[in-house]
Amino acid sequence: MTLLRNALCLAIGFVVVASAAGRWMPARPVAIVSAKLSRYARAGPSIDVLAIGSSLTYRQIVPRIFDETTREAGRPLHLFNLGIDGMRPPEDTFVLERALASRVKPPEVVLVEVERIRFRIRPQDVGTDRLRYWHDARRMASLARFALASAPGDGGLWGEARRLGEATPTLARHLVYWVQNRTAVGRGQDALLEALLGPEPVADEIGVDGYDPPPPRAGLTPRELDAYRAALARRSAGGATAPFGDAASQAELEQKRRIIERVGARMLLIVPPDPMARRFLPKDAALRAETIDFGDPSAYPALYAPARRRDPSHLDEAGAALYTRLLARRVVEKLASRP
Amino acid sequence: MIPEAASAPQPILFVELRFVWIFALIFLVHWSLRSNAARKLWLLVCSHVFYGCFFVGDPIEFGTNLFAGRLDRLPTGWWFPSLLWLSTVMDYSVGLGIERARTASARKRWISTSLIVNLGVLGFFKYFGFFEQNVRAVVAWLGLTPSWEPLYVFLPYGISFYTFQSLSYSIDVYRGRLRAERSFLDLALFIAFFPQVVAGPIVRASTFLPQTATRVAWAKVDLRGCLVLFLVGFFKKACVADTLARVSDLYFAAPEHYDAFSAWAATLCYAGQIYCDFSGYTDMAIAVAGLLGYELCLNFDFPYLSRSVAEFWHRWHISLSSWLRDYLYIPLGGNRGSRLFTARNLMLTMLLGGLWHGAAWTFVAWGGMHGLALVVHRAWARRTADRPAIRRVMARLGLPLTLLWVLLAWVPFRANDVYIDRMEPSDRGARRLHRTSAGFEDATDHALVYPYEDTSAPGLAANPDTPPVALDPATGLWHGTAEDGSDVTIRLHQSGFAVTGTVWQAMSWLGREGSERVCRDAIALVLALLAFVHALNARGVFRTVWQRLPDPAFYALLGVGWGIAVTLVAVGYTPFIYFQF
Repeated sequence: MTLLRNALCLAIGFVVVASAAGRWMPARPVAIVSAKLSRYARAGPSIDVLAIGSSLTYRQIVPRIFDETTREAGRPLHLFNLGIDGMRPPEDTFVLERALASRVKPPEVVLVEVERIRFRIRPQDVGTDRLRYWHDARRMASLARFALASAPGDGGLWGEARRLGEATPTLARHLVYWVQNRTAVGRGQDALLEALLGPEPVADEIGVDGYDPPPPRAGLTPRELDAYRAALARRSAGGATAPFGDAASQAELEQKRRIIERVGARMLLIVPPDPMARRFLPKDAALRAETIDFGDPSAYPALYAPARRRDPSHLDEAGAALYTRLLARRVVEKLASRP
Repeated sequence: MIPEAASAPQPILFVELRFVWIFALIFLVHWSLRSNAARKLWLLVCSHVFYGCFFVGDPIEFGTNLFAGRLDRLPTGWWFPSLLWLSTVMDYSVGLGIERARTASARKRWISTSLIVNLGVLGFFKYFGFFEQNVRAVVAWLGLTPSWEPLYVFLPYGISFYTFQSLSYSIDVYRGRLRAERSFLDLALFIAFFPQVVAGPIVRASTFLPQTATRVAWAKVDLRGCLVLFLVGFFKKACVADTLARVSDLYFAAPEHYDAFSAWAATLCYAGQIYCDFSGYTDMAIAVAGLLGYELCLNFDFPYLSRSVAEFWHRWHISLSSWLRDYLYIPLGGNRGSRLFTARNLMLTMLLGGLWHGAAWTFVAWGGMHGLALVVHRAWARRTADRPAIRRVMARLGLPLTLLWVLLAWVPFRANDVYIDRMEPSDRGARRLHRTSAGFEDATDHALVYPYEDTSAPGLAANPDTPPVALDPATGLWHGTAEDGSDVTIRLHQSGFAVTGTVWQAMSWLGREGSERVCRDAIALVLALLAFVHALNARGVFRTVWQRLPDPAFYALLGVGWGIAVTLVAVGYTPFIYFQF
């Protein structure tokens, strides 16, 4: 009894101080993410389309070209690119929530890049603000669902136990990031270091309407070209119907749809032209109908030409322009089919 | 597609949240076991698992690769924990061998075996690279081109600490001060006990082994004391040391850019950092051991309040300084001879003590400065023994003079060789690097940025952010190709001694100094506040307050303390400084 009472007193003392710190100490801005959210919040009232996703959105959907193409197609739309390098679910859902809450006038359409939940923590992200900032209760629920969701039934009970055993340490690490967020870990030190060393420079230079071209690079190296061709052959062999998915990632898409429809906007899903990643198509028929699929090389051979590649996953500037024009036309078609 | 990096080894640090869960498990199982032997066995297993975590990375991945025979996929140094076993088995045998030996020469053979193997292993892992670099430099100085490829030797964590610890056991048995330990379990636990295996304190067998012979009792655990000590240690390391490290790391990466104020501020910050880092670790180690019913020795006793260098060494890293006194200084002859003989012994002890801290001449210089100060202090004390007036004056000046000397000596201790990855004369914009046993790390955030090309650590070589570099023996430069195809050339920009010279010049306001400030003037306020709290603590002001509180108030206050500590913690942790020794 005494032990319980003492533990409770300790917990109360900790929670009171940590909660107060979490409330009063501002979180440090996260490079690019904070700048983009802030720019979107302050953008004029004429944003019709919001695109959200990873670098496959950030570096490949050019708002200027999108706007021109839709104007030429007789349905002028103004796009803001909220893509961020390396952003995958559930981080993108967190950013989407913040973005939609930051403006009075919602966009008409939200283009969402279809991707699987990133559960694994990349070594380069460990301990970074970028990994920490989006860990909240909802995102933890998504990650837990992903960790607990049954795998495509191979391996039986042993396989299941092994998979859970492998997932648990990663889930625990995500949990630590959530706790760090809730308890304002390090925010006092951030303030102290700012007082001692001055404000830390945060990358906040972003281009017009959220778009920035990728850093220059001289196309594919011979090794990359080989890997790209092999991946392309695999993708082509699988044809247009190679869906995969897990219940948690599907649920994440549903959650995005609810968030978007709550503000009166329409969600369109995009499968980007990247043969290096596995192709993810939603299982739900209604969601599938709202998907613009660039994942089939035979349907869009120009997007898969090695000459248009910056690296195996990304298009170069000319490829991005072509991709944006094709996307804009498909968006206009979709809007025309269901006004 | 770029292959995903294999998981790198993940040392378990006392300041991490996962340590709390791991320790909770160790603690609960330990105290729920009824037999003392079972408890010791449990702690021994936990200690080796804890130590193994410093080398094996993801245990599942490690086990899978090991059993599949894919040794090339295992992290570099995965077998280093076996050295701990080697040391344990050997010193256990040596202890029994010495006791059973019938002749003095047989006893000598046994102790020689222990010395040769222990010091041989330590010498190879810690000093081989240093030796090779110096031979390479001498060959190059003679105008010849070294033709051999460098052999990169990774330093196993904690080897300096557990080697000294196990050596002290064998030597004590040899000297007849200790009976050989019959229980292998007890000796193995003494050498591998996880709270202190990686960074001390260097516990003596005569202190620890008697504790293993008796049953540990929960009733004897000072729960409040241990909890407070752990929090204090955590605060020192994670909040104070890591904050001050940001200033000193920035400064020592490019001291020529900064002014005299920065030199003083950074040196003071480093003095605070190393004290809080190491004593914080020790506090946590003592607290963790205390919660398990074991007592470790005191390692720090407010050293910066010392009035002489001799006193400083009675208060700083006490377990090492007393080890050096008992197993090096006294065997060398101590003060049983002429003044010159004593001075020689003092200098030798401190020079070797410096070298123990790291394989670099700057550490030797640090030891030499302290050795010199000890010799001067000894001579001064003798000359002024019958002059009370001078002694009274010096009693007042002792503290600032000692502190000044200790501060000046920290400069070579901290000054690493600085490398840059650019060949142009202007070094602006170049990345400042330090060389480690794994490759080149960023001088300000300690991230490994250029591993050696022949490293067998898959997690390093496969990461696109870390292009490997190889040494060109002819030029002494490291070359590599970055991911974007550009060439990377790394060269020595300033040696540790050059850095030391630059800092000392800036501190003296005599030399050419830069114009930039490494930090704002607020650092003076922070340092003054820390010094004030330190002085109050030395007077025992905080020692009694929490002891008088009723339980609910104490634990609520402890919770408040943790709440404050976590807001001030450095989120991207820096490994403990003494792990590298």
